[in-house]
Amino acid sequence: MTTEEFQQQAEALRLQLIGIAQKYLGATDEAEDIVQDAMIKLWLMRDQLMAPVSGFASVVTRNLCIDHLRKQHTTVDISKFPDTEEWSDDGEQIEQMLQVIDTLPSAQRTILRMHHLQGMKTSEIALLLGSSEVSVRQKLSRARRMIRKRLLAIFAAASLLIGVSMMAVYFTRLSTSDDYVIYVYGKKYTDQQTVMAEMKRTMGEMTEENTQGEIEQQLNDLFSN
Amino acid sequence: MIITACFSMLMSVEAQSGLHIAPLFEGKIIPQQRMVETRVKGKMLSKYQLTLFRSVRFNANTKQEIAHIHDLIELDKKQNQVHPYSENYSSKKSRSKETLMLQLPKTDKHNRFLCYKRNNDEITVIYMEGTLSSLDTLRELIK
Repeated sequence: MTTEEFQQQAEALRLQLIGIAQKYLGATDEAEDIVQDAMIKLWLMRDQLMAPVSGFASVVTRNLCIDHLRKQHTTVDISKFPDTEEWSDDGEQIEQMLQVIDTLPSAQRTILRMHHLQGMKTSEIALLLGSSEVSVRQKLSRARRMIRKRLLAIFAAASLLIGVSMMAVYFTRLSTSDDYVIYVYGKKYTDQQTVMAEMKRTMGEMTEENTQGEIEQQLNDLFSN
Repeated sequence: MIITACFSMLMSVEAQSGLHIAPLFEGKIIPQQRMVETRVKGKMLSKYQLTLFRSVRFNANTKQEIAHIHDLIELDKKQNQVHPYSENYSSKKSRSKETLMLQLPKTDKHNRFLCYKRNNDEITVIYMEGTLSSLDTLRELIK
């Protein structure tokens, strides 16, 4: 099936699939989302599809509804996260984003790729998926928020890991490594022999017993006061 | 950011901080250009049962400098209620030749020692820490 043929059938197909999804999920947003997912799946495999596709599309939608009912997992309220920034063009960030994109729900993932990688406008995506432009924009926005949130989590975890590693290295170094330095009237020496010689000299002077001369000197101090 | 702050804080904390004589080791009393300052840390000191050795040696230019160092040592002696090992020393006035060796209260399972020696104008102050149990042992190890 060509892109044009798909576009021609998309709206009618979508209405039919909504009816099927609502039988399983009621007149809910989830039903709309499931149909969106089904349309994306069909779009992605449009090259292999042969008209008429309504039968196959019904099976796909029904299976997605059943999968959805099985999962029924809790979701995070992402509406609390700000949606003001656009993507950075930095290569490394894009690579990380692509990895994060792979973890998104299929509908969001596909719309993001259509928009940002294939350069399709939201109106074109809406036309292809038989959906409204508002709905596509909404999905794009949700996907971006999700990515931002996940990237932040990755960066936070990485920072924590680096911090902990640095601390570990520091404490290991603190307990095991040698560190020796001597400043002789402001001039720095770091050769082991010089430092150890000065250390031994200082310790030796400090711990040596008083000589007779020192005792006599102290007696002199005492009587001269 | 918090981790970095903690890390730099840890880097800057020296073992002898908390002592009145600590600024001397940081070059805040006598400029570094007038001192011989030694700092040794790590396995090299295991022979002496120590983990840290710091010393400063300098010639005092004035009587005030001598008195200042003497006062700080005296404050550390009083504040830490330490056991003096060798007290060829007067608390009231600095003698021209005197030695004071103190064992300070333990921190982090380490024994700590503060030594002060005056030989006329030459003053030497040492701070040591490690598993060394007494300065008598150190004296034996140095022989």
